[in-house]
Amino acid sequence: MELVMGLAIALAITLIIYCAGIRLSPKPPKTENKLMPYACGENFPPARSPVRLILVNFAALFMVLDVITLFLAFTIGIPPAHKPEVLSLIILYTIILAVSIHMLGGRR
Amino acid sequence: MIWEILEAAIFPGALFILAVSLFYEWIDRKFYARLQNRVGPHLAGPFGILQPIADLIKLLSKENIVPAAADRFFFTFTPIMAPTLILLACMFLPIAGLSGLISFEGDLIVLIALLSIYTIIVYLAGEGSNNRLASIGATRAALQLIGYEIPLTLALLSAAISAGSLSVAGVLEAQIERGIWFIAGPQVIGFAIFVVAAQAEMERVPFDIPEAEQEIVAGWEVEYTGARLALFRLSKDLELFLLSGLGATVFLGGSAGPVISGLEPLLHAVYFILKSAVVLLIFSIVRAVFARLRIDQVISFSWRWLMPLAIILIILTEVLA
Repeated sequence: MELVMGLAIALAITLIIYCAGIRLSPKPPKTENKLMPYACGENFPPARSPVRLILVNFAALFMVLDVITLFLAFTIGIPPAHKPEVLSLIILYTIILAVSIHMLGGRR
Repeated sequence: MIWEILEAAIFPGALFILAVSLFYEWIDRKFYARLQNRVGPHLAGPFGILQPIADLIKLLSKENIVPAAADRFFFTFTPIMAPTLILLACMFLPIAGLSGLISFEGDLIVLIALLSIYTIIVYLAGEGSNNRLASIGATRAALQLIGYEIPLTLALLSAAISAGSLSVAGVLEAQIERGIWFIAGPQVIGFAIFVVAAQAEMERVPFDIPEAEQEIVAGWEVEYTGARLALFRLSKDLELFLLSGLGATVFLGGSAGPVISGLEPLLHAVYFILKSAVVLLIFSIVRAVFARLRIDQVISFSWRWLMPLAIILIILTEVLA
């Protein structure tokens, strides 16, 4: 089966459940309190907490490591004569990981 | 064509997957409760087996509230996309047969990519609520899921390297050819990494800091009510099904087993369910015996221990292959 058809069927099933929920739910009038952000009864105006910069660091590292992982995945099935290249890729991976762990270590 | 659509929609497709994932939620809850010396769900149906369905219907019949400050588009878009993506990923698993409903060379990569997109959906769902608690939960969820995505990928990849194929069906076929499951060999380390990383991907104890009830209520899903919350709960159940099924397929030989001709789809489905239930029980035991970790402990565990271990596993697999 095609990927697109699978996506269409999955989306259709989810939409059926969602629409059933919208139909089944009661629709009482919306009060101001109901539309306030949930804050355990305290008075919190709606706001996002600022994104911590460390998230960006981790995201950048994730990108680099994930791309190398993908390279590694595509080395499957190459002839044995090219094994040294694959191993050097893994060594590169290890070095990047070691450096990144060392860099992130100081912040925590 | 019509036969294909029926197969994808009913058996072994979407409706079957939904039913089994709700059943798995019951197994998980009941077993978890018994380990803690509680009764667990027991009212709806025999032994409370219909409780997850009852919970789903109850949530569907509750009022839908969109907070005034929330981003309306993300608030509707993310709950619909979350179960869709996981349901699509479930169709890659070989359930009633030796290859999934959707199967091509490289589908393991697509499956992992779908899990990564789910991470982004979770982050958007939290940020779209425009609530401080949800925003904190979303950041934590993103940090945690980023950290555990790579060990999970590497654990699956080592099995793929060992099988010499990048498709789920190929990994399964390699196990049938050799007559031995991948768990009996160096891949047992891969299975251990997979269990830990999957537990973190599902945000279950000990990695449930993104939705720590006592401090940030429910984390990124705090603002969601009614049908939207029901869809997020459903996507959690589907994720439980997906990851236990994936673990069973890649490391325990999935739907393979002795078959009687004429009953193949049924017997394959039975083997698949039995083996993935074993993985599910391992997930439940892990959830029951550990306590919650702090966010810095969670992240440094992944980067310091799990990832180097996964790379050692990859080197071991490359050298042995």
